[in-house]
Formats: sequence, C-alpha cells, structure tokens
Amino acid sequence: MAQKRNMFAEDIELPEIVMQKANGAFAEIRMEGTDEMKKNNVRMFRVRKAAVAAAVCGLIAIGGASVYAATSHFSLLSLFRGETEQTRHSAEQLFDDKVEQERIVDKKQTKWANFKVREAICDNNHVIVNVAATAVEPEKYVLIPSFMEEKFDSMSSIGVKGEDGKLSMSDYADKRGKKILKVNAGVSQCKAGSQSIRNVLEPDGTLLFIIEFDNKEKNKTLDYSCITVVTPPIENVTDDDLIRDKFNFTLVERSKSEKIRYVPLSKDKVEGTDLIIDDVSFNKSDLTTECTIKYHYAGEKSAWKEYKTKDLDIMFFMLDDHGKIVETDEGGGIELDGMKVTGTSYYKLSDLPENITFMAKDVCEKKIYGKFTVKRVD
Amino acid sequence: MNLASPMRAGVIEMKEKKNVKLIEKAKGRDPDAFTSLMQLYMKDMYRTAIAILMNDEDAADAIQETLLVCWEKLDTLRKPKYFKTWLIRILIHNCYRIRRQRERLVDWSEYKEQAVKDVYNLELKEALAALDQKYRIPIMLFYGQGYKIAEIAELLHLPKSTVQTRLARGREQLGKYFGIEKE
Repeated sequence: MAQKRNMFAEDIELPEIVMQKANGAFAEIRMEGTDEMKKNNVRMFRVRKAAVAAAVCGLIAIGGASVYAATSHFSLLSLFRGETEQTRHSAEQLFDDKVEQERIVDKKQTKWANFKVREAICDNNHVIVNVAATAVEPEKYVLIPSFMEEKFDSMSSIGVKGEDGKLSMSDYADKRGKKILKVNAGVSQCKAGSQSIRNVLEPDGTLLFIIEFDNKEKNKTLDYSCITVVTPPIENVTDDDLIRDKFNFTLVERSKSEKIRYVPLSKDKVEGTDLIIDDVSFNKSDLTTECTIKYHYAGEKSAWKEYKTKDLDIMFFMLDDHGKIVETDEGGGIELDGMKVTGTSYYKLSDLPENITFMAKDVCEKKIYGKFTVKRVD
Repeated sequence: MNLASPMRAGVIEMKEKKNVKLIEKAKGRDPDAFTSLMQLYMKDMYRTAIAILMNDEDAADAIQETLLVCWEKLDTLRKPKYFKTWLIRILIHNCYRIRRQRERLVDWSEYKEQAVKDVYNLELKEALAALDQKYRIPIMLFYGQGYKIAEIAELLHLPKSTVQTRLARGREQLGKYFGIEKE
C-alpha cells in the first residue's frame, strides 16, 4: 500500500496546455510589469469566458425588403436574448453604439490593426464594453487574442461554429492561406476586482473583445482607458517587440437604481456555521439586482483584530417561495474589511418581497447548513 | 555511515536559500525572478489542481490565474519561508472557484467525464478518481507534497481532526482501489 501511495509523489509530466497557459501568464506579467501599465492599474485578462456565438443583428434594405447583411455583426443586445421583455427593453435603452472615444495614433500599431469601442451597455451595477479589432490587411492575417495558443485553442473559442470551429487557430489560418496576428484589448481604471473577457470572430475578420465587469464607480459619467496590444508576426517575438497603446473613452450611465435594505429576523449564528448576518441590501438597477450580505464571524475568529482569511466554500443562496435556489448572475465575490465580510452576488429579479430567506451551503462538498430570513426595512 | 543524508540536507538548504533570493527579487517586481521561482513549483501546483479539478484544461486555467494573482499580491507575503503554503492556498481558492463556475454550467458527473479526454498522468488521475472529492486533496497534499496534518488543516481551513479522518477514509478507499486490505 505504501508503495502505491508513493505514486502521488512520483515525478509527473506537465501537460503541454499547462505549460502553454503558464507561459501566457508569464508573458502577461512582463507586459503588465511595465511602468505605464502599472500607472494605469491595468488588470486586463482575468477571467476567460466561453465565446458567444455571433448573432446577426444588422439588417439592410434591398428593394424594400429586409434581408440579413452578407457580413453580419455581433451586437451586445444579443446577450439579452433569453431575458424578459422588460430587461431586453432596458438593455436597448442603455445600449450605446456611439461611444465617445479618442483615436489611436501610434503609427506602429495602426500599421497592423485598429481598435475602437464599438458599443457599450452601462448599468448602475454592470458594464459591458465591446472592443472591435480589425486587421489592416485582413486578406493576410487572422486576428486571435494574444492570450490564446494557436496550436491548442480551437476556433470555437472565439465563437466560430461548424467544421471551422473544430479547427485549431493555426489550421484555420493555414486553410485560408493567412498568418496569425495576435492582438489584445482590456479596460483599465475600473475598480472591479476582475473583468471577464470573451471573444467573437466575425465573418469579416473583426475580432471582438466583449469585456464585462461590475460597476464599482456608481457615477453617471465613467472614464476608462482601453489598453491595446499587437504582437507583430515575427519569429522569436520578445516583450520588447510588443506594440502597446491606449485610448480613453467615456460611458454615460443612464439606468435607474433603487436601494432596498433588509435586516435579519435573528441575530443568532446561521445554523451549523460560525457566521452571524448583520445586514442585507439590494441595489436594483435596470439590468441586474446586486445583493450584498454583510456578516461577521462568531467563535474563534471573533477574537481576531482583523480578518485575514475567509471561509472559501460557504456561500449564501437566495431561496424562492418554494424553497428552491434562485439562480445567480455573473460577477460578485467576497471582500474583507477589518472585522466585516461582504458577500456580493447578482440576480435577475423583477420584485423583492417583504421577507427573503437565504440558505448557507458549502458549494464544494454540497453540504447544506442552516437558513436565515431577512425582513425589508422601509 | 550514511553520507547521503547530510549531503542531501546541504542541497536542500542551498535550494531554499536560492528560493528565498528569488522570492526577494520577485517581490521587487522582477518578472524573470518570478518566472524562475514559479517554475520550481509548477509540478506541485499541477498535482494540487488536478486533485480538485480532475482535468488538465481547468488545471491549466487555475494555474494561470494563480500565477497572475501571485504576481499581483506578492508584496503582501511577509515571510518567504511560507511562500509555498501561500501559493498553494491561492491555487486551491482558484480551483474551487473554477469548480463552482463549472457546477453552474454542467452536471458534475458529465464534467468529470471530460477528464477521460486527457492523455497525461493517467495512472495518477485514475487513482485520484477512485477517491471521493473531499479525500482527494488531503491525500494529494499529504502523500504527494509532504505536508503535515496541521499544515493541511491550515491550507484547507479545516480542523486537524477532520483532516485526519479524511486521510484515514481516503486511505481506505485507495486500499479498495488497489485491492489491498486495510493495513
């Protein structure tokens, strides 16, 4: 048995994908390590999301009849297709395809590719920005995000469907007699803990960076910078070869928002845990509802001067009238501030009832702890 | 007289001193030092990530994210001797986060089947698959990386008694998997 257990300590082979992604991180670290990036608090490529299928939304009129444009374009509004009519309507109201922005002037970069913020949806809780990158010579190059690996990542990672979607990025480029050109884009100066980025390659070769993050500013006018990077297609490229630039853009937040506060019916610990709930509040905006649960620890941690660690696995889930978990939206997280813990999650909710019950659950072990109920404070 | 042990101790001491130098340089925002440092821990990171996520692609994502977080937060590390524990804790957090995301998207049983597509370290993955999720990570940290029970308890935010129980039950499951009766 002891010999068998040794297999856990035996030498292992690191899979190629692990090495490739680690090398990607090291390259990114070198890029973020530049003074310019640090100054701008750039945290570009945090969470990679699955690509969304390109949705046709552009219509052109020929001879009085509407037909789909030959070159279809993705629209941020297509992200809301599965939502309620009210949410879709709100998204349309907040949709901005004339984002105020500077133009990139770095001649070195514009020799290869151009970037612009094509559209944005800005809500009191959430921001979505669509940055479009186009190759100057689309007949020669296929644009791919620089944090992807052309030999490992398939074209489906950037939303290409069908047989082409199964091809690796390098095979896809070879099939078309083109070369790979790596580009990258991210938003800086947003206070969100992370940004999620998904990519879509449109039929005309435009590569989209759909960047989403929590709106932590809560101002009506939001000033951001878009950091852009082109990796020139040369052999043995080094960090010094990367062509970086940035441009500023401004979003206007026009959503309506309402804050609603709840207090727990009991000040006891949540059954089975060391957690005491202090306060629950909701910020209901046009597109999402942000729920923040403030709590603290009883037991051993209550003697600490400041929390340094948190329970990794216990999360609170809102229950509906039938005791079923209400599905959460993307985003959120847990923050520590001295002796306070704040858990944030996002929901798609139309109404908030008088009383709401939450359940504490260890999501890794799927162990269910107790419930707690909060009452609305008017 | 065994000459190997003092020599080995000397080698380990030299290695640790080298690591401390690298940590200090990396804290000074030296990307090359950081890269060299992290390469020393890549296999331990992979062992940990695979024990939680059971598939190479997700393990690679967790490691990538951990490298970025460590680079960003390295200045908060006070004592270089705790570097590895600090690193593994961040990695475990990222692995759990990725698991949570996957659990929202697909049924867990379907998700585990994705591991079948992997071609690396199959024997290790098969042994891990024979263990329940909650026993996998303590077993890997204990046997794979030589952590003590108290250290695992600290890493996983669990009482020592729970870690002991999980190790014992994990051993039982491994015994059954290898067709060996309880020792």
